[in-house]
Amino acid sequence: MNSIENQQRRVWLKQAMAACGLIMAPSAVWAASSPDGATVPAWLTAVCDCVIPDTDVPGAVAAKVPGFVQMAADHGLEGAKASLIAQFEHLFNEYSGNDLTTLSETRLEAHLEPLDSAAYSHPRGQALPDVYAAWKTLKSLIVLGYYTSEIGASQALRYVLVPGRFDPDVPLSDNPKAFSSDWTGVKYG
Amino acid sequence: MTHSKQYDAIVIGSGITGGWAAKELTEKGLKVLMVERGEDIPHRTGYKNEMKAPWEMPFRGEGDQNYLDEHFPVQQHSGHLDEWNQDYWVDDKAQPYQTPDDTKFRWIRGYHLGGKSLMWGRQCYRWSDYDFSANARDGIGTDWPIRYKDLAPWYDKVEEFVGISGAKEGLPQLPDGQFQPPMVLNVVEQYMRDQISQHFPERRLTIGRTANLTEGKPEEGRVQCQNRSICARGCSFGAYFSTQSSTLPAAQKTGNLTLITNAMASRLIHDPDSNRISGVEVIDTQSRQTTTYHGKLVFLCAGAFNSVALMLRSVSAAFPNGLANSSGVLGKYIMDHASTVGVASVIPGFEDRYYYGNRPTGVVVPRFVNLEEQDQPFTRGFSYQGGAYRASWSRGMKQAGIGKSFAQRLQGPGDWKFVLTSFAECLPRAENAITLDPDKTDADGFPQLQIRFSFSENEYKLLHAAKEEAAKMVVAAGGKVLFGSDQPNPGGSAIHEMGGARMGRDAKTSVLNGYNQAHDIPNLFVTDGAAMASSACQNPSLTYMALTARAVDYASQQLAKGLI
Repeated sequence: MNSIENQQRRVWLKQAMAACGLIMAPSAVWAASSPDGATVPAWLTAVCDCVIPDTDVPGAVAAKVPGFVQMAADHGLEGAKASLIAQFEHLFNEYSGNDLTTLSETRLEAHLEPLDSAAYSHPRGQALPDVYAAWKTLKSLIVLGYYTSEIGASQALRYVLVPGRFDPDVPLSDNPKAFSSDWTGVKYG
Repeated sequence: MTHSKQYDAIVIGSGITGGWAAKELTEKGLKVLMVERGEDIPHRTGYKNEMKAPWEMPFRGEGDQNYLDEHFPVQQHSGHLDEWNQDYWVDDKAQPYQTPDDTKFRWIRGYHLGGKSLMWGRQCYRWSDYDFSANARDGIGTDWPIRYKDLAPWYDKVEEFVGISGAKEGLPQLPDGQFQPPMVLNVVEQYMRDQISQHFPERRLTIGRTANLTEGKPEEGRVQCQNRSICARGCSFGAYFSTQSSTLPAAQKTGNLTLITNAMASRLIHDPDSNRISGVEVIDTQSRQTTTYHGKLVFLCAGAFNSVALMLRSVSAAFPNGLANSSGVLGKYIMDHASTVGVASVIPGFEDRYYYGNRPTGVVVPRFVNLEEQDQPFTRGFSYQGGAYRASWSRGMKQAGIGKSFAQRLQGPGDWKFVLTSFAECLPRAENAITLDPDKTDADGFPQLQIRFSFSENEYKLLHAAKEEAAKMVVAAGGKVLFGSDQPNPGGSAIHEMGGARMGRDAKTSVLNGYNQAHDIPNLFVTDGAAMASSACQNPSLTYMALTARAVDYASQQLAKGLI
């Protein structure tokens, strides 16, 4: 399924479900698969959509980030363990008192925002609770997966493999988008 | 075992110095055999991932971390390894080494045609007499047998051929060279240069002097830098200096070069009657067949530690403690710059400015302490390399935020960061040494190296001062310090490992003379980093190249006179 079809399908599903009075996230309806062929839990697709939704360019779901996250965790990227996905589901349920698999995307977002805020403001030097650590790793993989995808790298951002020149001082107003191909800016953040 | 024909010279190793030795020797009309232990990576066609986008790589350029942890537990810390170029680095599992007791050392290597010249950092700085006289000045280590004037014409020669872009600054501690036009400071770097000059008149921030062409060399098939800054994948434009892009084609053009790859020099054979290296035993790493090659000259350019390892392995009745080791110092006095992040900061006021293109060099702040006056509570000095850039999307992995506002924020560039990495001179000390492990062997069956290395109190003092001074410069410019360290990364992290067969005036305390010639064996020359008697605080590769070209000139003259 290409990204445009995917996006259209999501919009259609949202409208169709709203018409039926359903509040279930479209991500719960179909499951993505990772590049390794593993099936991705529907809630992970919803989480990816919450972190990087469609803006003026397609978001994380269209960029097939859920499948990437599963594959990346299996291969240890960003310090993830293969159990990250299952572990986060367990920790999130424990933390929020909810079942991640049945939350609507709206309610999911309402839970993720404070979790995200707390995880990134946790005082340095104090032991990071497991749910915060798991969330930060999961979010890192979502961000990584999106901005290294073709959509994220070349539509949300600018990708120029062969600049051919170096301009040392350019008004940002000329084009406000960052370069995904600024390897220094990417490497050192 | 088979025997092969006689060459005028055998060059062991095809990296930065091996390439230079081969070029210079062949251009003097000598028939040369170059021996490379790894596989061939042909220029252009060998750079398989060069043009691939992140989304075309299985792991988006990050690499399979589980695979990296298994095969590259050391190499992945090089700062240069990524998924695009990971095949260029040695498999640590197959090529292990030991670090005894509680010592640490990151031995970063590339076993293939071109060696580390394919992935190097390309920074090229002359050493000055502050460096060549350092050991004599404070009595630590043995005096260099050369001074700047001995090397200056050879710096000229190699710079012109390599193609080094840089700005002339007139600084005695970092002599100017034969530069191509400099690359340009970005707007924040220019601001920092101005601020530093204003607040600290004795300090200078200048553009890196880098082996990336700002003017093409079409006659050599080299195009000017395209500002991609993905050099370590290999560059089909030939815009940066490597064996593949530069010295190898020059050597091949003479018709005097024979190159063999997958060919590991296992032992140098010493003939006690003539007191010459009479042969080089080479193992074909595919067939495991051993061949002995003969050369009137042998140039050992296998990389500092591997050159020393080969000498340590080549024992005989005449040299029971290692080849050309009558002094007993072979393997000792190894060094690497003590490096760490001196300062990471945010520079406000330029939020509406950006840049276009990826300049393949940063900036440098040359040494400014202990020059004419020795007025610090430590000896020698430090310098910085770094630069200014705007954070890209990866900051989103470290920041709070989800949803549309988060995604929209990441579409633009982040703060202007200004970073200086400190490089402190490493003192030559006998206890920092490499030896052969008596028991453990590598995948080829050779003894593993034991690398015993630690930094001394002086390096810690230097890095502490470097951290403090870096923060002062940022604060004076109105920047906000985020982080700074005075703790060195493990030895080896600067990838400037050197020493082990040092040059010196006295055969009793050094392995090589002032022409990189073994004191003990006239036809043996070691011209890679092993020859270094001190470390300075700037990158050493340019000096290795100049020493190599100079040694070839000397050796060929001696050969012509019948003295070798």
